[in-house]
Amino acid sequence: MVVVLFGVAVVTFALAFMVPGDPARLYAGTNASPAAVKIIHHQLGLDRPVYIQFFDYIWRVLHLDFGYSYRYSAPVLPAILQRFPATAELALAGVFFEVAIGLPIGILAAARPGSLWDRITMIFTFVTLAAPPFWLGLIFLFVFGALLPLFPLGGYGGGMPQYLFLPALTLGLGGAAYYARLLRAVLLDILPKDYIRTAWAKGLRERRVILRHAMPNALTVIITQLGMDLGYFLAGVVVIESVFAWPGIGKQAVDAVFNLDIPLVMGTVLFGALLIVSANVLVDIAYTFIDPRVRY
Amino acid sequence: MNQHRARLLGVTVTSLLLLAACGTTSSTTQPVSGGTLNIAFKDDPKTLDPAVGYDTTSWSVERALYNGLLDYKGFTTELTPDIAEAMPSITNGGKTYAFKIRKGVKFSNGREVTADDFKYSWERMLNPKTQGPMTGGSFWGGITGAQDFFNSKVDHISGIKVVDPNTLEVDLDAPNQSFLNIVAMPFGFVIPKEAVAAAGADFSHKPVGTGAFTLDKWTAGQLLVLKKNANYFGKAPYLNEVDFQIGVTAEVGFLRLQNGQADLVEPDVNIPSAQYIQLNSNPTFKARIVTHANVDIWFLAMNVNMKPFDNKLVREAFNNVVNKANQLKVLNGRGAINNGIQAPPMPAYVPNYNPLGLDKNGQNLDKAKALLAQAGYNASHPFPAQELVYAHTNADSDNLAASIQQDFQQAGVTINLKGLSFPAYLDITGKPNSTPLSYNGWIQDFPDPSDFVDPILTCGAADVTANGANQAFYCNKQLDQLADQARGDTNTSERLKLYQQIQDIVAKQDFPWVPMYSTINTGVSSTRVHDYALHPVWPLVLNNIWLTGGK
Amino acid sequence: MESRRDSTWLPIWYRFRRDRLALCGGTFIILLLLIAILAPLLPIRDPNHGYYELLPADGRPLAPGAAFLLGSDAIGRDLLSRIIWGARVSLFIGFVANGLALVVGLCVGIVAGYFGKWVDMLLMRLTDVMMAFPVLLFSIALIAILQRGGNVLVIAAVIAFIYWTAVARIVRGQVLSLREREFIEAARAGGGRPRHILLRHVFPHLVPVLIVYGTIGIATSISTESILSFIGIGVQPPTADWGKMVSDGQGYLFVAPWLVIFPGLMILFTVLAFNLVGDGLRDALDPRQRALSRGVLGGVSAGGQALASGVGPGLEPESA
Repeated sequence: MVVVLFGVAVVTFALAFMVPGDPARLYAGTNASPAAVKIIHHQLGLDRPVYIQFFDYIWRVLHLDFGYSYRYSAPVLPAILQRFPATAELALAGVFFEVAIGLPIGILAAARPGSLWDRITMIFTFVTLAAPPFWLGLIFLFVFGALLPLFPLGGYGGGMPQYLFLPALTLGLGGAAYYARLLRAVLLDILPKDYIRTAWAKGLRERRVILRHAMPNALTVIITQLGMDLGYFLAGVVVIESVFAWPGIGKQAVDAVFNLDIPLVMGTVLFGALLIVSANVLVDIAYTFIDPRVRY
Repeated sequence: MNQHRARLLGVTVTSLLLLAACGTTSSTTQPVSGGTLNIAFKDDPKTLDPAVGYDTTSWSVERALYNGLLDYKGFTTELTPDIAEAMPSITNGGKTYAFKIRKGVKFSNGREVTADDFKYSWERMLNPKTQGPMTGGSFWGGITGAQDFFNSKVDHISGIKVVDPNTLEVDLDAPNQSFLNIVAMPFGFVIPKEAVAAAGADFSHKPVGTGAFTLDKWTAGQLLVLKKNANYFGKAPYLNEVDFQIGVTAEVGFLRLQNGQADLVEPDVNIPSAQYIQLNSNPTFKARIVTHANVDIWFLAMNVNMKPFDNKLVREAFNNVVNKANQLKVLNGRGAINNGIQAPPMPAYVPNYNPLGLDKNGQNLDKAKALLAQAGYNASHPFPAQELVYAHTNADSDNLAASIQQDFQQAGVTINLKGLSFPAYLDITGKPNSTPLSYNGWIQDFPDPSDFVDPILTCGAADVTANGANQAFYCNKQLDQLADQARGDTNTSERLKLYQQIQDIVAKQDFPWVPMYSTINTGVSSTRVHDYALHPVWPLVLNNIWLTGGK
Repeated sequence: MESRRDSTWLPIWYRFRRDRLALCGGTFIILLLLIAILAPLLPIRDPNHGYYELLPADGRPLAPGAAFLLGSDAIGRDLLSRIIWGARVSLFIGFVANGLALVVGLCVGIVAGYFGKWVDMLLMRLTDVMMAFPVLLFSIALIAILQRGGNVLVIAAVIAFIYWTAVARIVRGQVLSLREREFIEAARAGGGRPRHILLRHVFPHLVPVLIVYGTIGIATSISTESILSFIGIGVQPPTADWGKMVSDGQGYLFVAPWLVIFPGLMILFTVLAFNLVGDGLRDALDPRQRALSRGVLGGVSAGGQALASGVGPGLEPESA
């Protein structure tokens, strides 16, 4: 894991260093004088050799200093941490929708393979998987903005639930389809197995069979997937946050890219990578508890 | 009910009706105090530190928090004293300005403002350590002793003198007719030393000033709240509170405005095309749109040092190609064709200026083709494809560039488009030999004709060792001479003539640019807002706004 | 030892043909490819020409109707033409990006899976590092840094750069399980050189995986490209591109919703078509490869999300 983290830091620094243009210019502002830019260039230490800047970078990262944002004129990590709760909120709500929509659909499809219901759910999953998330979001905005004004249109609204609904739904729908198919496939794999057949033979009702006997084994897969889904979310939020003007780190990063605020962009990338690595570690640990057969 | 009660009821009802009638008539004509204004913004202001802020969002909020020596009278471009008691006395051949400072002006922390505070604020603003955009020269470089200060040779600027607690004197190296406009810029706002010391590096988030409002709360990415300053020295604003909702896109914002959930939406920028179309279709809001001619000029800059634009015939040919009417159509007609360099609200503006005899679209394609042929381009030696560099400043940027591409196609010239983020655009166009053709806009720093010449058309601004704003890297010594003369000229009519001469050199003789249009700013407010108007210089002025019923 | 001859493909085709949805998808793709390739010859308007004179005074986009079948955008460009030309961009980037990812992923996966030990560990660490990065953020940062947004090859390369790791993982898993099988042992015992073994014996078994993931990968690439363009760092204007068209149309959502609806639908149908075909191929190839592929292909397919989150080969621990 340490190797991975180091590798992440190297790549992040390399990227940040490759940016053309003088960051001092961005610091100084749009109409600033050339002399001002020169002075600031020196102040930022941009005229030092590469390897010194790299070690300086590693040192600072270890001390939780992710750099200084040009646009906000403030340190990067606090800026990210300030907006992270909003993203986390959105991600959690998205997971809720994924599971709440995806699991029942998957179970029902597995219970009746080949039926009309199965076909309908398959089509549903295909369509929601194929639909571009930003487009889905805009369609929702259109429906709920022009046609049926039920939900507020974008923004954070101070954390009130109705503002969270549409962005979370959009985020969750794409993932829901994935979970539905995953669960269906896993269940179809498990259902013919012997211990399920025994349950049928015992005369248990279908619901009990599925929920009590089949699901627990399917859960390993689901949970592993959830853990790895973090990567998906950190991707999904970028788009969803932009469409719904949700004040999270995804939108912040996109804005930063256009402002050429490289420290903030790279800081977010690094932050995201750290989250993913942590999530993977957690999933691995959880895995050992869930599946006793697996030991490291 | 008994008789007594009925009569009481009757009296009560009648008096209530009378009160209501009086209430309604008086509230439509007389400003009412109170209430919270809701403004929707896409992004946080970058900073609230007046020494650093250089974008319209920052200036919008700074204008409410701080004051300077001078301000603009009402909604005109005429200067008037603000913290200064009166307009300064100018002596020494226009090189010395003496400002008398009003007594009793207090910062929001209770302390009274003195001349020392101005010296401190200005020196901090120009100090290289502050890393503000004014450091190193630009507008304030003409103050005596400023250059040494920029080079960190001295600790103070000798030309800024505190004569007594209420008198500030400034010496310039040479007379400058726009110096007072420079003083009125937000960079000249006064701040207390102790607040900066207390806030450390975070003064941009903890502002303390003399303004009509103070910062109550700022949650980045979400909400910024201003509250009325009870100790404001000037005329109190009507509003009690102003809430800036951050992170609201234009689409959502204007919908909210129509629903009454937002009162203003991004007032510091023009209404985006799509929303403008929407508002124009709604009679209620169409009537509420306010306009003001902007002091700006939008043009194509051709790098006179790079092929093929080093050939004057080519530049003149390009001046005959752009369909300026289509450019305005992309902007929904919010602008006017401008073939010169000064904007319509400027006194130096020449109405109906059309030195090249272009048609109503601003084109003369036949002449353009003829000029290109004259320059040696034909079937066997075709004109090389050019790249038009432009900035993604708003949703219309791509469309404006696409229109240009189409125009040149009709003239037989291939143009490729290269759209960049604004910082990247500045970076690349600032390098001397990198960009032959770029799409530019210059918006006033202050309403004086010199601001449309000195920073963008003089040889100094084309300095090849630095990032200048002279995108064409154009240098004409004769023009420089006229500019120097005009800068300090106290005779107004003579000064205007000089600027018009400069305009002729650019638009009729040398052709470093293809001037296209100046824009008209539009704004709209929700139905409960009164007296919202657009200011020629400030992106947002809150002092006059009041709400129906004071809520 | 099974040999790959034409006769083995016919049953696969029959099975594929039975999947109606996959057939629909396939037909759509073929039609789209034809239209996209033939676009310059078709009697449609220039996608970049703005018919300003046809627009009303306030610049409102034209609604779908007789003159413009799918309407026009804010500067009078024909939406139908732009959608057709946008297909060229999306399909090109989809194929190129996916192709690159497949090639790189294949090489890395084979080398890691076959040679094992420290080569495997090194390569897997490398993929671990790459997979630790949030996909979209990383590609945004990369393109922003390269500042060559607009160059389709760069965009394709960046997309490939993100997704090769998933392919590598899958291929490696396959190779690992193949390595232990008898015919490989036999070939090794027979003294065959690694390159020969890889080419003759291992690679053919990888073909089904590559076909399925390749097809689905095109869907992912197109989906990713549309997201990048939507954000604004993909293809540059005035080139028509579906994602960019949705992005441009955002502001006009309540005034001219067709600007958002139609390009978005095209993305949806195209991604859907490739997914359906990929799924159909998986099912068609599945029975023959049951032993090998169940752990890999079963249940894990479709959509950008699978590859986006870097999902490994799947359900059974041993193929991880």
